[in-house]
Amino acid sequence: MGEFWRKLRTIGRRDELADRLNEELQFHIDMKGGAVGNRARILEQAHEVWSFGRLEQAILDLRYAARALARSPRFFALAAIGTALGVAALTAVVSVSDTVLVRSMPYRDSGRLVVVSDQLLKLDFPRFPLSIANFLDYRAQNHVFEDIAAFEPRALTITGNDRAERVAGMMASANLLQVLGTATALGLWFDDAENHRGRMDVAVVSDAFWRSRLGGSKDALGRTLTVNNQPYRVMGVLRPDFAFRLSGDAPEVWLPCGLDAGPRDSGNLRAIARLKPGVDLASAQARMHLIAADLKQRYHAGMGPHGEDGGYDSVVIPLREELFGAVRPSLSALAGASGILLLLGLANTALLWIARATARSKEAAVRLALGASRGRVAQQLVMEALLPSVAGGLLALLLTMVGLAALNAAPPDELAVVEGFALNYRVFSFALALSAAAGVLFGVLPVSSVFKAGALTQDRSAMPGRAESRLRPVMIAIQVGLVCALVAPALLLMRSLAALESISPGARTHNLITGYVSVPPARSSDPVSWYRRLETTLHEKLGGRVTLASVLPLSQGSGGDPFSIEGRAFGASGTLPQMAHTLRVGRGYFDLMEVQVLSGHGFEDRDFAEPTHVAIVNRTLARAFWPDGSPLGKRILMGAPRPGADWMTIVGIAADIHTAGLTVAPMPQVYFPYPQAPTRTMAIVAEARGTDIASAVRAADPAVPLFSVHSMEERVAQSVERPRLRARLFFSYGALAFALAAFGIYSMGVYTALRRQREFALRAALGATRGRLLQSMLAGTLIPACIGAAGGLAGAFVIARAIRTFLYGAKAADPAVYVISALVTLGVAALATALGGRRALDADPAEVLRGE
Amino acid sequence: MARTTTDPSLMPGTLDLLILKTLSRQTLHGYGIAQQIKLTSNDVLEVEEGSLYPALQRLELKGFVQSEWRMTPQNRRARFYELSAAGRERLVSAEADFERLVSAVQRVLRPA
Repeated sequence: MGEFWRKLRTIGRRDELADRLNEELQFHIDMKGGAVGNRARILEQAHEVWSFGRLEQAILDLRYAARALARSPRFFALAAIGTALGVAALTAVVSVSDTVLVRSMPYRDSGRLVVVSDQLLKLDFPRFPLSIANFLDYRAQNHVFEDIAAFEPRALTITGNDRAERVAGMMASANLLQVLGTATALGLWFDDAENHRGRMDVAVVSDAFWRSRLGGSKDALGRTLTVNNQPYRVMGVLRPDFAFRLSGDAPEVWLPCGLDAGPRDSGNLRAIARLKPGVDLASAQARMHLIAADLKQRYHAGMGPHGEDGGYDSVVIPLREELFGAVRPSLSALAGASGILLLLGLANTALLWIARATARSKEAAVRLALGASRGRVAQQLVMEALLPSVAGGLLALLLTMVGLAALNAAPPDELAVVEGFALNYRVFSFALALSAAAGVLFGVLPVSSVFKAGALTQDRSAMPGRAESRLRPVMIAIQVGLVCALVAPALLLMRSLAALESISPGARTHNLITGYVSVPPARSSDPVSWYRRLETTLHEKLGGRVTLASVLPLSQGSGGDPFSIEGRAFGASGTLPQMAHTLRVGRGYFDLMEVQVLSGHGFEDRDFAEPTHVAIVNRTLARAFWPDGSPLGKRILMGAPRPGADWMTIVGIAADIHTAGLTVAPMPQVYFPYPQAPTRTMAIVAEARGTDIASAVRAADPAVPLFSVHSMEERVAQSVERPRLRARLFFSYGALAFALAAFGIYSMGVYTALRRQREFALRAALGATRGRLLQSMLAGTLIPACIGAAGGLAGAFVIARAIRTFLYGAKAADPAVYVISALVTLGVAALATALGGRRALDADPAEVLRGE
Repeated sequence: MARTTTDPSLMPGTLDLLILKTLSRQTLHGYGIAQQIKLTSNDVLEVEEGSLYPALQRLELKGFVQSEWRMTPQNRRARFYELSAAGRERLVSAEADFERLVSAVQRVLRPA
């Protein structure tokens, strides 16, 4: 048994050991017949021998500190929670953005990956898909990429076991995995395209698809999958961490894409490339500009979908930017807000410590006077200052873990990452260390005057006064400033959300259920009769009103289809690009969706019986292209004029609906009865409560999958989900900041008032009224608070400018928001001070003066 | 030679050495140890209780001595200390260290 264990065994037996030593000493005294030296000192030295030295002292100090803090649990809770919130918020936000921005691209050297697209800027297509011919030219001529791969998203219908299912699919070139720098987990990826020209009937599936649909066994390789009514042999399974998020839903089934050059004005390819070592983005972009200019000159004047010059060019964008460019501003704003919350927590802790400085100074002075060494007292003060920070840190760790677990359980779509969100311990340590350092600084600094020689000879109550009176207004100003900096942007976002939610999509939203169907490949030769049968069955089964529409409100991007106006040159002829959203609709659409036909008339039954070549345009289109006249009776055509085309006669003008987002001004819209030019996919819109449209669709055709089923209200809610989330987050940050600051200032008010009780009592005895005393206390808070608020509003404006892209119907410089934020914050500061002060003033002045 | 009271910081380890040497001859209680050292040093070394008892605690924790409560011839309860095997080894090396130190000091005081 070593010395360590013997020492350890003395713990808990020390009183007994001391008793024995006492007896031993008593024996010694009796034998000697005289007093021994300082008996207490001998015992203390023996204690030192038994103890573990500094470590054990530290533990003792910790216990002492814990006891001191336990006497004021409210203080401890406030300091710990203040620290925890800031640390947790910052850690969570940085962990999330770190996971999203850095670790969600599990590809080799992902910083060198770029997305290559065409663009038609004049036609408002910043990302236009590539034609196969263009892709092949880019591949052959670029000299700047190691390699460039093509892919094309395509929804696929998988049939089998008497059911049909729609999955996200992807056509890909053979070199895609090589470009990304990853490999299959099982089996093989496609060989290069030539090898498959003869047999394109192979598929590679995602890990998720393999597990859920193919049983997750190796036997899955070689099995046959019925995709769009064609048999495909499964030849490989991708790795579970393989993430491909360039096309909305993660693709589940991958098919080889043939690369036979075709016309240059149509294509749906997208391309991803890996920069050669030593080639930077700018030189790659420059090279692609050259190739695009050359192609444009060589083939036709323009490369738009119909030969027009839409401002055609090729554009190279870093993969990271393409994937996360849209969410980064939100994450940065949140990280900034979290940083503010952290600082606020620190300022709050500082204020709380300053408030306690008087009491702690007295205590420390007493311990010093009783002979405790300066080192011991200092160490104990540090321990006491560290405790709330450490407790707050543990709480923050817990909060962050719970938060991230919740996020992992239900990841937001646009942030979905493969491996899940992982806690960033570096940020956590940084935030915690900062909090601990601030805790020690503000916990020890205001009482440090105690260590100056002769501290006890000074007037005890005035001892920490100087540090306190210097720090207090600064901390109040900082707190109020930080709160203002958070509250004003939160208000702006809330206003913006309210403005957003007050926009009507222009069509009926209540009590409508919607879902999409695609014509099965077997029926694709005669989609109109298939749709007719579907309509009939839906009417029979559902009873209520039902219609079809190729485009639902809030479902489209801001692009559109080009159209021609009879007698005018093809191209821009109005005040808007000559592009429209095309809405193929079923019978009864305008009634059911409550879209008003403003002039002319709606579609008639005979328009659905056979193609009558009629169209209804919306008001925006009518105003943009016939500013002075009426479009009624005029003829239009989707696409470029071509011989033998069926021009549509405009028979009515409809009210605008929002086919793109709520914040996007209504696009020009062209409606026509679907039988005139049927499309593969249409939405069913049914008016019903608790209607089972799935079984109605199955009754019409069991081989057709119904997908994306949502009520119209859900679709509207989804469209404002992101702004709502943003507003909610900022609001909760603002509320937390408010609560922290209010408690901090209140505590400060109580302690200041208690400290000045004697002065107040004296003044009260001399005739000062209660109101007068409160006034002087309020001035002490409000003057620094106003200075802080001014600084905070300046900060708020900077933040508001940074988030101005999120603001709708609210200006970053909206004066009302700033005035309200400042007034509310100052009001709370004043209230907290007054409440705190009243507690102290309630004491009887005579009592106070007699006491002390 | 003037009488001196032991100050452990004066020559580190000396008190421990004296205690161990004393206990190597017989088992003794604290007071006995102090008396014995005083006696054998012809009253030159007087061990202070303030140094002796903490030193005994330290030696016991280190395992060099063991203690036991026994009755004295005068029929009083007292704590008796005894050298352990480890203590015996320690004594040998401590004595050697001390002798080396003393001869070194002597060489400095009276260079040959």
